[in-house]
Order: sequence, then structure tokens, then C-alpha cells
Amino acid sequence: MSFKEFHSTIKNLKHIRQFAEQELLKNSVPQNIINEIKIVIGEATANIYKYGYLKDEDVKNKILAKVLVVNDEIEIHLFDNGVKVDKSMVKPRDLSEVISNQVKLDLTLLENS
Amino acid sequence: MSYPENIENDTLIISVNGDVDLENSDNLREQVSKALEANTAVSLNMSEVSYIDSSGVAALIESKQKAEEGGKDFKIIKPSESVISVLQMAKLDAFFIIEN
Repeated sequence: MSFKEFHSTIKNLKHIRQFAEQELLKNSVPQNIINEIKIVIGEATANIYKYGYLKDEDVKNKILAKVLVVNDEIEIHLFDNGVKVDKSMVKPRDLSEVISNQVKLDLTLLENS
Repeated sequence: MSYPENIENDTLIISVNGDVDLENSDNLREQVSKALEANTAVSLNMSEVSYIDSSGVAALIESKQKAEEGGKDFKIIKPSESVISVLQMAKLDAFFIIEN
């Protein structure tokens, strides 16, 4: 498992994607799969930046990214301490509509108690 | 930051490159908006775009809408694999005029 902490800035959104890409390449994940995963990571981290930290680039606002590859399973964990997600606003969507059949995706939202 | 521009056959071509994400999608939106005010046809060469996110796609949608409102032509030319896969994923590949 590899992990890296980033200051939540608009410039670092790209660096988080690049970190994940490098880690997945080290684990011989095919580039076409990586490209799809980068889209997911990009949208998730942009949401953390916009809605979690409200675009506030205070140095205390961090995003921790973890990448874990075991056999044919990839786990990406993104942690932040921003505004909690209002679960009533989350509209479930059939992810098979937006992800290719090469990637099976599970998305879990966790919150600190 | 602005992307390189050139004119070919009365069309202003903006050569977009690199990542189009939250950091620079506003720049793209503004550059296309200004281009549409001064030209009758604007095309985006997206062959060198390595990544595009939903904010970039939103900039493309708004650009097309602005063009339509002004009776201007707006095209995407030579989209990279990254661009076309995101447009297909969002089911927007038929929404835009795309030339390869």
C-alpha cells in the first residue's frame, strides 16, 4: 500500500491523480484502466476541494490518498476532514452506466463518528 | 494562461493541451467565449488533451450553447482518446460536432 498526504489546493488535484497513476503503473495496471480510475479520483478530489473544504486552501486542509493493489483488485482511499456529506443529497446511480465492463467499481462513503 | 490560436479557412482554432480540470476550465471557457465574440467559427483542437474532468466538459457545453445563441459554428476537432472516452461516458459524443 502506498499513501501520500496533499495540501488541498486546486493545483494539487492534478498531483493526486499523478500519484495514483504512478502507483498503479508500478503495479502493472493497464493504462486504459488507469485512465478510467483517474477520472473517478479526479471527480472525487474535486468534490473534496469544492464542497468539503469549500475551496479554502488553508494549510490545515489535507487530502490523504491511499492506493492498494492486491491481485486484480484496486482500492483507492481518499480521506479529508472537510464538511460532512449530507447523505440525503446523495442520489444513487447505476455505476454500470458510466464505467466500462473492464472495471467493477464499489464506492463507499465513510465518516468519522 | 491561454491556449495557442491560429486561423485556418476563416475558422479560429484553439489548440487545447494538457489537463483540462477545475484549475483551468474557467480559462478555457473565457478564451472560447472571447473567440466566439470575434469570430464566426471556432474549433477546439483537442488532440493534445491528456485529461478532462466534468468542469472541462461543462466548459465545452457552455461554449457550444454560446455559439448556438450567437449563430456561430463550434466544433471539436481531433479529440484525444481521453476526451472522446469522457464524452462517450457522459453520452455527449453526439451532442458536439466532432471532426477527426
